[in-house]
Amino acid sequence: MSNMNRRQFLKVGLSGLAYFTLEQTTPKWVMRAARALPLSCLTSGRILVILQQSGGNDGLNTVIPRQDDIYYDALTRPTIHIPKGMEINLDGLNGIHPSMSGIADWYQQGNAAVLHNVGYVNPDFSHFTSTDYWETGGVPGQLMPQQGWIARFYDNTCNGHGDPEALFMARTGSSELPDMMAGSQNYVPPTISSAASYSLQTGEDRAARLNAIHDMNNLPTIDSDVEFLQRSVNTVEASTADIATANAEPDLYPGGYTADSLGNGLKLASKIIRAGFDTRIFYVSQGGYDTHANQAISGNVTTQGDHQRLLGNLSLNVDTFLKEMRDTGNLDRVLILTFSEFGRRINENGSSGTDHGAANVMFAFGGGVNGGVFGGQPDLANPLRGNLRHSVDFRSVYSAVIENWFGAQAAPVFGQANYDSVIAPELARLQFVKTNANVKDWANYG
Amino acid sequence: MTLTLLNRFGIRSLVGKTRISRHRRYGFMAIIAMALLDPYTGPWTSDQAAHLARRTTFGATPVQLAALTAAGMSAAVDSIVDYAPVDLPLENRIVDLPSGTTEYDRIKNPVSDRDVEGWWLYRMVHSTQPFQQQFALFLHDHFVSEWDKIFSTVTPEANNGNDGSIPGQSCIRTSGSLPADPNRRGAIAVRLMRDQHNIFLTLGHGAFKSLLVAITRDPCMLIYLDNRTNFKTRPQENFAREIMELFSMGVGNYNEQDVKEIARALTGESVNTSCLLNWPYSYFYAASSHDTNPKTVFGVTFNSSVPGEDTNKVIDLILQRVSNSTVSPNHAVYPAASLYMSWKFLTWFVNQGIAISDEAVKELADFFYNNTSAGGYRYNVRETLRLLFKSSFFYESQHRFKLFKNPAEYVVTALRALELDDPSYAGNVNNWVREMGMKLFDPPTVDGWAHGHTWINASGVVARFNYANRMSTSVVLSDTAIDSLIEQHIHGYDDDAGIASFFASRLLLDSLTFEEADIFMQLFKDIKGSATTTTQSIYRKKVRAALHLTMTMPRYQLK
Repeated sequence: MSNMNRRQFLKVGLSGLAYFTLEQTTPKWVMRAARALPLSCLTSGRILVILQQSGGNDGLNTVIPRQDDIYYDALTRPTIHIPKGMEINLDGLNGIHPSMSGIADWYQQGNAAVLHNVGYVNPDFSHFTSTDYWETGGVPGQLMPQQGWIARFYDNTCNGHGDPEALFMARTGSSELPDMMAGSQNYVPPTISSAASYSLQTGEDRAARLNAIHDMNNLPTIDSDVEFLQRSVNTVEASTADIATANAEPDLYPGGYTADSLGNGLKLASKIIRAGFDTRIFYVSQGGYDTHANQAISGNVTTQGDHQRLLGNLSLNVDTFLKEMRDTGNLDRVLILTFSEFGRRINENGSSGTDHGAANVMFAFGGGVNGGVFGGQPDLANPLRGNLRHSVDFRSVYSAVIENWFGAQAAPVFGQANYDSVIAPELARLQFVKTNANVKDWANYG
Repeated sequence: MTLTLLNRFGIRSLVGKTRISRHRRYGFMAIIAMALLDPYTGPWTSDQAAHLARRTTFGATPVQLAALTAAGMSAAVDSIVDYAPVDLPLENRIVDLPSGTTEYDRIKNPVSDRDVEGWWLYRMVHSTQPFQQQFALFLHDHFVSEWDKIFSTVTPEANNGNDGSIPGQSCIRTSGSLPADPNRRGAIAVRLMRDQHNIFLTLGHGAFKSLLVAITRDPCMLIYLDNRTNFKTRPQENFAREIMELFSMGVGNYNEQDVKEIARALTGESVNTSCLLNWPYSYFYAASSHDTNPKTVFGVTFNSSVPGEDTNKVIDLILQRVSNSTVSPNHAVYPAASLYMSWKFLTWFVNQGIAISDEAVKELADFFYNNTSAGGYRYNVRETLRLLFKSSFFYESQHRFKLFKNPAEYVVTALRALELDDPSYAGNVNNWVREMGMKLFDPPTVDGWAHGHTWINASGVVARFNYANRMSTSVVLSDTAIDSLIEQHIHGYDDDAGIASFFASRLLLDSLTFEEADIFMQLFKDIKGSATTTTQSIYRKKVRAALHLTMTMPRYQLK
């Protein structure tokens, strides 16, 4: 383990010129360079950005079924519905929240897909349990997996293919490692809450102190917690210089990102991509979607209340990110996939809000997306205890990404039996991602 | 007594998993079914006392550790858990802080999130009964309220002084009779958080039922979980769900209909936000909002016209609820709340890998619920924790250094152990603690922080190590402090082993391995470089680097 860590570190240390230029004294472990075997999986250059909408996004007010009379019925959402005509029309049947004009533009250009009715059997209404399902790729009735689905995907696809760069994946905009990325056999992705403060400080005797910290965190151990700590420290050592390099990239659209977890996360992801690092999977998140109260202010639902603010920020940040990707020739190799732990109740509650629901809408953005609406329309006439029923299993959406975007195998990630019975039958109608065949291999660009 | 603990999934199963499978963590499986919570009867040396201190009191100074050791196990535990409701020496210390300095004014009179974070950190560092602070942290993590929601709920009009006192004018207008105060809104939000915190300090150790009763009338909580807008016309379920899922019983012990019925029962528990009364944000029972139709929870139908009686009935039903659920076999025998809370105590104080089906959970729940001896009562928190800290299970060697320090503990333990003070809690320390992943009074979700391995991530490691660096500079560790703290414990400037072991004994309450000591020796050698003699300046550099390095050791991240 420590061998891999050291190689991992040293490899990135060599590429991280900032170490040599910023420091007067080079720590001696940088000099102990040994070429590591580069990772030989997921080599197409395609990038996935997972975007979590935490708290349970109200899908019905995000993508409005503008031809559905039940949505506009006075008993359904008397105060918080988007008034007819205020939504931005997408395809005739669906309109998007008026605060999401940026995303609407990308939809019109064919770079956004709407995935309706995504969920799972026996929906759970607990934020935490339901988030666990979405993060691990488990469903009720089965033992909750002990790894996130991304970690399983990585292990299944990349084990035996060499050592990953420390920045092979990254959680940006927050210090918390998402469960989706946790539990891999031999790789812990770094979390970077703030690029500017992501460096190890030393008052004096910098090289001596950094050497000692490194050695202290590479002693042989049989304690799994100590090993985990050591690995985390090594990941830090291996990625700080690269993050400093990435952070020097300019903002192409000043003011285009909000100063919060989502804005900071997408901004840094953009910089890492533009700086040329081989990060394949990012995870960013936006909180605050648990809109039990003050979701929208009656009479001003499109301009006041929490939901319009959240969706406006979502649209702004995604729009800026996609524009930066487009301007730098990266648009065709990025795919943003949104998810939230559940949708919300069809009918509003008494607090100008909505309670926890079930099936929900997801988005996919980027040049690798087949634009359009997938998964059929939400069926408000046939609710399950007041909530939308799902018709698409979320694991099928993940599988479409794994297979069509990354050209890898989804069955081992979710289990062959699940794949055969649930996922495979749904994949045919989930062609929202362009396949390997019809997206240029980024490695051959230019 | 022999106990074998097996981990069914191997060590990997615990890595990075905290929220996942809340009730499916078969982390440990008791093989020998003897009473785990029998009193500990093994040797009582500084080794066991140190374990107790690391888990309950943010570590210890040598004097404190010696006192715990000399007292013997039982008296040592008593001295920790029998704290007074008010920490008088601490409060007096704060009163005596000089006025007129920005830093201390913020601690004395906090009016923002940063202020109140510093306010609490200062208290953790200087408390004379640190277990009270540690347990308040547990309760804050359990009964979550988030600053962001509280502050955003308090009206910005408060700053303008628009109190609606001028007849015919509303509260929202351009001027009021109160002077404008840019800090009034923040001060109201701080007061809400502090009042909730005070519930934890004063009621936390007593009857769990009293705590639940107080929390269901706490304005901060009623705002946070939206119960102030839970009306009979359209009840909403936020508080009803979390009071069961997170505050008492855990998932799997109720159904969705119970959530709806409890939501109806809780209608009317509200908050008075009237501008005419200068925004009291105080508890208010809104009788007109209360649903007066019968409610049926767990098959029991009730309905009272007495204000708040339906809420109290809900709490009684929750605490008595034996669910027969599949969460664990013990749920057919013990109330779900006794098991869930015992599991939370055990995972916070003993080992995060303990599953709710564990034998220790069952034993602790049995005591928590059934021990009513000597005038006691059901759900007596203090007596339950006393039992736990005196149990053989608590001192099992496999639990040593098996919990991850949270960010507050990372900072507070070091400052307390070295009897050092940071000059800026509200302006600086709180920032580091935030960057480590913990914004006090603002947990990330209603489930609190995820704890365990999730505290350790790249950004968090950077912040931890950088705070260690700050402590090693003269900002915190002055030359004078080096002289007075350390010089008496070493034999001259070349006593490298003395310097290294000094910090291990203070911060880890443990000794260094040979391999660890070698790394310190190499560090000191590198610092001395080609110098022929160790000057005082070199010696101080060694001391500072040693403090920095100790706080980056894997073992210092653990407790």
